[in-house]
This record gives sequence, C-alpha cells and structure tokens, in this order.
Amino acid sequence: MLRPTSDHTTGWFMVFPALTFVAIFSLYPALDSFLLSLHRIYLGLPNLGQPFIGLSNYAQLFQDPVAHQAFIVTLGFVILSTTLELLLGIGIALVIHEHFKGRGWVRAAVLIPWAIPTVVASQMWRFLLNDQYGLANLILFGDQVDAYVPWLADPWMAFGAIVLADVWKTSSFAGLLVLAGLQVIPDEVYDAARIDGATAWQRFWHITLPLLKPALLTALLFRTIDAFRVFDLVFVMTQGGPGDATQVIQFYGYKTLFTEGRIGYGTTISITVFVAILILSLFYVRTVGSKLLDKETA
Amino acid sequence: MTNPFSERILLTLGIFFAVLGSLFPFLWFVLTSLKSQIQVEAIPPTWWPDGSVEFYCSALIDHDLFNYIWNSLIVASATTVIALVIATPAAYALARIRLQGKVWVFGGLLCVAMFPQIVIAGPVWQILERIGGLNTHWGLVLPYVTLTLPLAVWILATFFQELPLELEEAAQIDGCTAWQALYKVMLPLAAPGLFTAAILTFIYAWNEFFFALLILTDPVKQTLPVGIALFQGEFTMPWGEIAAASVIATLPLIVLVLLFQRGIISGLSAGAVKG
Amino acid sequence: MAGFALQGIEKTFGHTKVLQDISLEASDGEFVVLLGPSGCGKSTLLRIIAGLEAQTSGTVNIGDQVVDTLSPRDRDIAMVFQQYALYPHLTVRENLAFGLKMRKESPNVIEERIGEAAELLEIQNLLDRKPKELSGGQRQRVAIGRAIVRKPKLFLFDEPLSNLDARLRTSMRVELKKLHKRLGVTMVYVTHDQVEAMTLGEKIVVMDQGSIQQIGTPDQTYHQPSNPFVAGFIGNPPMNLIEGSLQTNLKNLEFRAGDFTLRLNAQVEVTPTPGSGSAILGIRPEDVGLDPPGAIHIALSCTIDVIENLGGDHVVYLLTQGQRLVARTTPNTIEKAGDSVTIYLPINKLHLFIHDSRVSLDIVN
Repeated sequence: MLRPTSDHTTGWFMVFPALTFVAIFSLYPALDSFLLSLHRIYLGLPNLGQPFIGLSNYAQLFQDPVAHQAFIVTLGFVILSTTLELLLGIGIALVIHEHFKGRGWVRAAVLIPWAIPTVVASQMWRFLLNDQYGLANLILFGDQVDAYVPWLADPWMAFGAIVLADVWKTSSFAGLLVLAGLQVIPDEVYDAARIDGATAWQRFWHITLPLLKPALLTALLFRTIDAFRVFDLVFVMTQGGPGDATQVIQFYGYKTLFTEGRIGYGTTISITVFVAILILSLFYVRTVGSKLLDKETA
Repeated sequence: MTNPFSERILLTLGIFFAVLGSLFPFLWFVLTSLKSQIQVEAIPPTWWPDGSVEFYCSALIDHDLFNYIWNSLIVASATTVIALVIATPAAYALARIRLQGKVWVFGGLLCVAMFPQIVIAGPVWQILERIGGLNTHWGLVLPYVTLTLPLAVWILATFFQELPLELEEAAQIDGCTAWQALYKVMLPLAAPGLFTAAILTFIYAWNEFFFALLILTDPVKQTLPVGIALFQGEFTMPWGEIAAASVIATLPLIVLVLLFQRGIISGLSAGAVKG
Repeated sequence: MAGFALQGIEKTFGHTKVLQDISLEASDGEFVVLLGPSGCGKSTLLRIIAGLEAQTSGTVNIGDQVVDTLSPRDRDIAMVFQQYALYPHLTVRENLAFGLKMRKESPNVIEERIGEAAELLEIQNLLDRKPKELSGGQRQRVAIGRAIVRKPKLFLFDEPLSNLDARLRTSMRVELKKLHKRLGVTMVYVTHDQVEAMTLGEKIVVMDQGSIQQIGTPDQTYHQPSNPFVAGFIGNPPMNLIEGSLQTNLKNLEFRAGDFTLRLNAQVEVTPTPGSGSAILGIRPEDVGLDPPGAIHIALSCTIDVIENLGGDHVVYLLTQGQRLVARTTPNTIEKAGDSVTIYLPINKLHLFIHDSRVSLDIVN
C-alpha cells in the first residue's frame, strides 16, 4: 500500500463509476423516499395535491394496528428463521468441512436451494403444501384424502410454511458463512486438543464454538437483515394471507405503495424498516466491521 | 486409531440429511414436471411420473417460456458484464490505493446492500419513467447493476488483497501506472475472483423478482421469475407447467453450481472471513 | 515412565507408500531424534506414534502397552507442534490447564502443575496473556508448558524450533536439552536440521523416502555413516561425495571418476571385498588438509576456486582433475582464489560406499 500521491486521482477515477451508480440508484432514491414520507400523497387522487405533513405519517404508523401486526409477523419470522438457519447452518458447515469422497457433490447439492430463484422455491413449497396435490399431505396421510390439510389456509400453518421455505432456501448460505469461520481454525489446534484429551463434543464446545463467534455474528447479521426484507416468498406463497397472518412489513409497504397508491404512507413504512435495519448494520459495523477496515488499510 | 466409529456415523448421517433435505423438495417438483395432466390432477397424488413431456411443451410453447428465458438471459448477462466492468477498478482502488474517505465508500456500499428494496423502489421507478427506461431491459439493468455492485466489489477487493504486493511493486518499478498495473498484472491473477463475482452476479440478476415485477409490465419483456410467479391457467393452477417452467428456469443455475461449487463457496466465504 | 517400540510400521496414502517397514526401539528416558529432509515421512511417523494417524500395518508400543487401538487422549502422550497450536481464545493459564480440565483433574492439582511448569519455563508473568500477545519464543514455551503439565509418558516434538529465528533457535536448543535432563522423560523429536539432531539426540534415526537409513548415536552417524545419504546429510559443509568406479589390482585400490583418479598407495583391505565396480568415495571437508598430516595420506594438487571466510574457519572450494572438492581449514595460510595448492587426504578418514552401503577401509601394514 505505498502508492505515490499522484495515484490518488487515478484511484478516485476508478471508484467513480461505482459511486455514481450507487448515488443515483440507491442513495438518492432513499433520500427521496424519506422526503416523500413527509408528505401526504395519494396516487389515485391527484387533486388533493401533495401537502407536506411533517412526521404525521410516522405518527399514524405508530398507531396503525395493521402495521403493528406486520411488525410482529416480521419479527417472529426473523427470530424463528434466523435461529433455525444458524443451527442448521452450523450443522451443514461441519459436514462439508470434513474431507470425504464426493464432498464436491454434497456441497453442490447443499448449494442448490440457495441457487434456485426464490419465486421458483416459493411455487415449489406452495405446491408441496397444496391441499389436494401436495407432497406433504401425501407423505403424512397417504390415501386418506379426507385427512388432507390445507396448510396455507391456516394462519399459523401458513406462517410456519414461509419460515420453512425460507429456512430450506437459505440454511446453506448461512452454512457457507459459518464454513468460512471453520476454515480459519488451524487443524493443529484440534490435534492438540485430541492429545490433550478432548472428546469430539468437548472439542466442538470448547474450541470450535468460541472460535466461530465472529463468523456466527456475521451470519447472524446478514441473515437478520435479509429476513427483515423478505418479500418474494410471501408474494408468491401467501400474498400476505390468510388474512394478514403472513403479511410481513415489506409486503405491507408494497401493498400500500403500489397497490393502493398511498405513496406518502407507503414510503413511511419503507423508511421505518430501513431505519431498523440501519441500526442493526451500525451495530455490526461497530463491533465486527471495524476489524475489517483495519485489515483493509494495512 | 483416529476417527472413532461414532464420529463416522454422525458424519454419514449428517451428509445424508443435508443432501436429502436440500434436494428432495426440488426433486418432487422435477418428478411432477414429468407427469401427465391426469397424473397431476390425481387425488391422492401419485409418486412416479409417466415420463411425459407434455408440460414442458406446453410451458415452452403455450406459455411462451422461451421468451422469458431469453429476456432473463439478456438482463442477467448485461448486468454481469457491466457490474464487473465497474466493480473491478473500484475494488482494486479500494484494496490497493490509499484513498482518503475509503471508509465512506465502504460504508456507502454496505448501506446499499442493506436497503430494503421497497425504500428505493418508488423513486427508482420515477427516475426510470423520466428517462424512458420503464418496461425496458436496459432500464432494469441499471438498478440491477447498483444492487450487485456491493457483492462484486467485496469479492474482488478480497481477491485483490490476497495477491502479493511485490507484484505491483515490480510493475511500478517497471514503469506501470495504476491502470496498467491493474490490467496487466492483477487482472490475470484475479481471474478466479472475477469468475466467482461473475457467477454470483449472474445468479442474483437471474433470480431477482421485486424490481423485475415493478419495472417490466409487458409480458413480452418480462423475465423468468416474473413469468413463473404470475403463471396462471385458464381455470386452475397449471402446476404441471409451473413445475416444468421452474425446472427449466433452474437448470442453468444447477449446472453453474455443479461446475463451480468450489469457486462459489470460496468467493462467498472469503468475504465473510474478513468480516 | 516408558520407552517405546515400533514394529514394522507401514503407511500408505492412496497409492503412495509413505512409510516402509519402520522398526525402532527407545529405552525409558531416551531422547530420540527423527531426522530427514521434507517428505521423508518423519512427521507422519510422529503422528502415528501420537495416534493422530493410523498406520496401515505394524504395531506401536508405548511402555509395555500396545497402543494401536487407543485414541490420542488415551495414550498418555504430549505433543509440541511446529506452529505451537495454542488455543487462540484462551489465556496462557487456560491453555496450560486445558488438558487437565478435559481429564477432570482437581483445581488444586491444576494450579500446582501450572505453577511448576511456569517456573520451569519462566513464563510466570505471561499467564494472563493471550497467545496473540506473545512472541514466537514465548509461544513455544507455553506450548512446551502445556505438554509438561500433563506429565505424560512420552513427549513428542514436531519441528518445534523451525519457526524461530536463528539466535532464538540456538538458545532454545540448549534449554530443551536441559529440560530433558531435568524431566528425564522419553522424547521423540522430529527435525530436518542436522545440527539440532546432533546436539539434542541421544539416538538419531535418519530417514529418507519413508525408510530408515541409519539408527545410531550422533558420533556413529557422523563418523560411520552407513550409506551415502546419511553421509551427505549430516555435517556442515556436507561431506564430499564422489561417484565413480573402483578398480582392484594386486591389493592396490584405484578410484576413478571421469578425469579424477585416486590411487591408494598403501596396502588397504576393503571389507567386504568389492571386486570392481561403481562406488562412492567420501571425505569430510574438515578432514581435507592443506598441511601434510601425520597419518598415511594421499596428496593431490588442486586449484582454489573460491574461498569463503567464516572468521574462525575458511571453507575452500577446490578443483582437481575435473572434480570439485570442499575443504574446511583454519585460516593460517595466505591462499587466494586461483592459487595452486596441494591437499592431503588421510586414508583413515576416507569413506567408501559400494551399492549404497558402507564398506570399511582398513590399512594393512
């Protein structure tokens, strides 16, 4: 990292196009959204104008029972799916970290749920849980068609279904992040532990887990942020239903913004979600990310 | 006396369940796609398919699947190329050149990765409307590039960091400018990183749904995810066709994963290690 | 307290045989060094003794016990690794305590043992630090300490000094020797550095390409190397080894290598009798003299190619009859490159190898 000062200009040139894209299509829209959230705008009623109303949209959001419900659903989804994904991710990482014949195939197999388009996965689970043609019913009840359950018609089952679909799809990604942490632990440390007398479980508990903390934190954070933003799954599988049992916050925002045309309120919802995620990200950058930046500037 | 028997069993069970859990649901979909219409409508459902390809034909011809595939191909390829062209110099600069305010650049990229789609959806829509990009492929590519930049820059920056400093120092002594050092020395060596970034970008663009739904309203222009999400039959859900379309949509990705699982894994986990 | 024994150990990885028929014994308290170049299988052998790898065939005995079916934790051994393998997230104290905790030792015993080890290795003031805060030498002591607290039957070392700088290596070598004396435990030490082997080992096992080349004391391997490999591996600068052929006629031996001819002008007897054929001749640089020695010798005239001045010694690179030789002398003569000199090779310092085995060369008079 010892470049002469003249290269600073070149450096900025190199970064410029990326920054431009980000500025135009990401930062500016975010700012614009925030400004919009301070107005009352109904797309279908242009003659009402677009008055500035300050933070009253946010006040309304605070008291909106539908929004509350959406937050609760989202929170529940985040906690449940993230926890399950992390646990499964650790399991997957431990398995694909070992050396065995055909490991490449197993890794590819485990990656496939991640690679499948979310809409495809959503359709797939929708079909699997179908009340007449679904595999779930076939496996559980076989020929007894009368016992078949309409999974997606029950609020709790539907919620469980989107959690299941998300966990299926992204556990392997969580696994990869954990795997990265596993790969950093030198093999010698395990050898030393074996000689010191640790059983497999002791090695896992006393050595692997503590040393995995940073990777687990990273996985936890990435997955939490992604879980907060879940949309595709809900759109295809349940459309937020039955009722609003699976209406996650981003879906509520979508409906408000694009289906109902309530731009002011819709953007308010979106900004609130963003703020929640931002707080999480800042927390992450503070704790783990600062180490990253130290390495980069070395 | 190395790996006790019990550990071996645990590993085998782990492998079994991991593979089974990952593949089984999708395999069911594949089986479904090969059934005949009667089989699909059978209640209770049957296990083994007749091996009929009628759904594939129907999906491709009646539901115009080729069109969707073609659109996805265009959009995903364009996104990948453009994103890489922009991300590579940026990643190099961030990895190797002492820039002030680098922290802000990283922060900015991180932010972009964190935004919920919906926060930027409306204004992006407005921008595209103003420049006439609505319902066009290039209009979709613009936000796609923006969304894939963070990951691409991240992966490439990590790769560049791994390369030994001496190489560039030698290039400097040999008289190269920063751009020349990048193109002649670093790029060839970072090829695996480029590859991985390209694959991940392609997969992202291929699978993206939210913006595709928003921006492409004409079915002629729509990409695969939109097509599959909005698959409607005349009277009932055409599950057979959906299954067939899904298999077709996923096949290229499965091939990519099979061929490049090692690269994908190292690319994704390399970024995570530094974090 | 125990020695150990290996019988017929073999190890195959895939299609490659990494260890061939390794058999050796050590008595209780002995310091055994496994010496050889990289890839010779010494580390694999160590890991097999430790139980970290399973041998393809053969048995391992520690003490009087056959340990083949025992996992590392049950073999009552301790190991010091090349990269120390300290637990990065634990303090030094916790690192030392780890093994004892796994075996559910009482806190009193743990405290006591840690205290002993810390005092022995002078790491008392490091106990609350984490490995990343320690220097290489300090980490290495902690690694040794971790092994000591377990009071094992067998100590295993896998190239423990190779990550230290030269000066530290020398001082640690001395400390290890003192440690061995103090503890009196059987130690198996793997290294590629023949200086370490010579200074630390009571018994040296020289290995190459998976098989044992020689087992002997440092003196034995130095003065009576059993094959050209051992001859060339031990000693610095390495022994001069010349490949050529041997001609015997009327009890006069003649050695030829290209233009180089050496006629043994004394009566010598070679056991076993070689007849004629290919042979390797060897002589150590320090035995090549620039002054006539008292013993029976051969004189050769050479030209000096290069002189390396080491201060107390000179290493002189010579050319004679198309053959290169290296000599090590005290710098009392005023030689310089390009000079012609006469060198003197005492016959009793010559080594002869036929079919890669040592044959003894005795002067008959």
